[in-house]
Amino acid sequence: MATRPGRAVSGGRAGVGEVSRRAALGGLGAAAVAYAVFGPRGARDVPPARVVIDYWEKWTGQEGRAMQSIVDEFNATQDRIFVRYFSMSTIEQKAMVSIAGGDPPDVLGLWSFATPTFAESAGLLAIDDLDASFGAEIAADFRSRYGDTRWVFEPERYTKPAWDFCRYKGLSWGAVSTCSSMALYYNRGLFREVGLDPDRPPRTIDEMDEAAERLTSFGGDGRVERAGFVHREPGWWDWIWGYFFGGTLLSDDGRRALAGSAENVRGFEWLQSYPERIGRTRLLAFQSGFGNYNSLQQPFLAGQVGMVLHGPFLANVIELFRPDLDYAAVPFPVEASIYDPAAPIALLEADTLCIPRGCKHPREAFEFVAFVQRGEILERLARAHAKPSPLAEVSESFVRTHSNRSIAMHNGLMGSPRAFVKPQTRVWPQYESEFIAGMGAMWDLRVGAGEELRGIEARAQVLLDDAAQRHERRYWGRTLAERRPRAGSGV
Amino acid sequence: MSGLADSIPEPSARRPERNEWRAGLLFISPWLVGFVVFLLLPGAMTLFYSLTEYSVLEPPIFAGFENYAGLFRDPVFWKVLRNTLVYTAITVPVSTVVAIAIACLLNSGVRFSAFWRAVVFLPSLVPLVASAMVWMWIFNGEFGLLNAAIDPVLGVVGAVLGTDLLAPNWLGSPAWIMPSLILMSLWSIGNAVVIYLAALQDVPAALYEAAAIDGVRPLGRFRHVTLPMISPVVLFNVIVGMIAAWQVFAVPYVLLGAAGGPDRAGYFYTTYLYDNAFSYTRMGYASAMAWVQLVVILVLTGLTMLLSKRFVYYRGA
Repeated sequence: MATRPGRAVSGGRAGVGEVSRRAALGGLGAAAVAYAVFGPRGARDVPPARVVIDYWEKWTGQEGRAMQSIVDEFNATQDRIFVRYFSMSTIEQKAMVSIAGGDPPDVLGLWSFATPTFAESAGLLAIDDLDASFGAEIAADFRSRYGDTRWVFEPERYTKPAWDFCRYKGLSWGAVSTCSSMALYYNRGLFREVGLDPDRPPRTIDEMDEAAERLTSFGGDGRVERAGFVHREPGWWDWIWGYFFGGTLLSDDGRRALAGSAENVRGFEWLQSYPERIGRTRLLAFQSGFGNYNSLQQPFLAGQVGMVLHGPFLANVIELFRPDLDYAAVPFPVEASIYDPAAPIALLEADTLCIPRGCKHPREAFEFVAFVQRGEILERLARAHAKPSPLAEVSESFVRTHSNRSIAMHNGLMGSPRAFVKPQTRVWPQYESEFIAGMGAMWDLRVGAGEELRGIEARAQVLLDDAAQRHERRYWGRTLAERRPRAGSGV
Repeated sequence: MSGLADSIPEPSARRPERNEWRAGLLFISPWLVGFVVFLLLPGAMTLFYSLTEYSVLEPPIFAGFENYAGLFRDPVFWKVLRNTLVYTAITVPVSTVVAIAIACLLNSGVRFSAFWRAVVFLPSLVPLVASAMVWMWIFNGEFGLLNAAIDPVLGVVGAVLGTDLLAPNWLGSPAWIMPSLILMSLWSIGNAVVIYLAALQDVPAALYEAAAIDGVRPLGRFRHVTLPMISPVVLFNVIVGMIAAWQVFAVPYVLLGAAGGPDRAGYFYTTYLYDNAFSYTRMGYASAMAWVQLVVILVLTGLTMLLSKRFVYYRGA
């Protein structure tokens, strides 16, 4: 058989300068052996004979380190369980895929507003009914270890909202780890500078407008140099403004969208009064120069904005970048007609620890979650995150040594009868995206608040109806309690 | 009978051929396995899921063509479809023209051409997220480099016209979001430029000499010699660019965040698909969107191929 010089023949022989089949396969084999011998290894610091449980959490930086120290403490007290802490972004998406794929972590750190989505899909184990969720054997094991396990998750231990964060349709789908109450943070130094009393912050919307007006200043060329308040900073709660006028976005039964209510319209008309007064183009240009949240260029830290709606965690950022900043926080002002100092209106959010369906070590996961629920652990975590405690009673040292100077006020908001959480519906991400999209037109004064909100309400109602229909079609009236999963069960 | 016997090779002759076949399969098996596991199988599964109601966490239930019908009723679907069409319709021709122009310049014997080639190609090596962050500041309405360059010009024009002209708030105003994204898409045309450059260098010099002898001017030479000779490469780049434009995701997602900025002006098809799949837990709906996207891309590619019969010249064909 004639071949061209240098061309490999079918038997695997190679010409000059070419790699033979045998050499190629040998090379691949050598690479595989090298990878097996010298390649990456699993964690080597896991003590022998321990059950390793994986804990996925969203915290990084200082917040992540605080949780890691608690994990380390748990591991140090154990001779049976070892917790591995993994910090990650977009945790909800990753959790969803891992649960569906049958390989979830043992403990999941979620945001409280994700509870309806995961609970409705039976993606989590209900932790307040051990026999039903974990099975009789594991429940008996828990009881033998802890006695009556209800001490861990007794409603009386928590503030009502903290207890409710993980509740959905009558069951608890996790336990709260930290919680936040949003408030008005204001720069006391700037208040003094413009002749406002830093010890008498605004309580009503009218007072706030007056303070904002005095804090706002312009440069010689007409550009905004400083704004008293900018609704879109930090821009995390575009949908919230109607609440401070007595509005809400969802009916109590969760079936009706209420975005277009008179209270909400008043709230967003108030929002539009700011670009109207300052000038929409000037305000947009000013706003586009704002720096990142976690930096000295953050507008509240940089003194570009005098007042801001924010969570208690802001205190940690201030401590890190502007420890000299003279600030305080108070309940966010409300419309004068609904002002009640005993019942401030505030948004509450929380981080929760959940046990996903199909996890490999549910009993060990439960043990870790129970450990974190200890009073001193929750307080330590809250202190490190500059947040209020989820517990109904806090120790004297908690407030005294807390890094957030307004922590007592934040704790008070947690107990307010008019505190609220994000609407508890599965379609909330879509509902919220309608606000995010519509906010541009309202903030830019291209459309009136009433017209835009009625449009949002109509679109949200379609989403709610559609979700209800799909739910009915799928479950035929079976309740969540009837279809919730047990530990180790698949889809 | 004898014909059939002639067509069957002798066993001794077939064995090496079979060995070659087996060896070939063995060598491409990693790709084959990857293709089946990561493309063919998921593709088939999305087709199934597109006919179901599937939230990922719950088992899929058959829903027929409900997801496809739902797309037609969904105003956000039409919005992202329109945005993506506009983006594709503008970026593909503009980037093609700009890439060919730059390739021609680099091919014209400019000094330090190797250096300029590297400069043009370099942005393609920058990770998308990193370049999006850089552009975020370039487009900044208050402190952005672009407005710093535009402001003085607008000041002069405004003084002449007797009016106050302001530089655009590129990423804050719905009207300027699409132009910003189109402008930014030109940042990464280095890949196309390199391919055009290779095609230009492959055009026989004799054709230019013949055209010059016939008195054809430079522009005519470009039109009658260069363009036909590089037309297969143009076709390739247009199709690849069109598919990439239809799948644009990372840059608008980083620049504009959730919902594509004000009025969803920068909300694209793939972003909405991703949101449906992972944020709204509507994987069945997202799968239907993916199949519609595939059909649209196939149709557009088919139309382009049909048109190419009139405009593309293959040497030796």
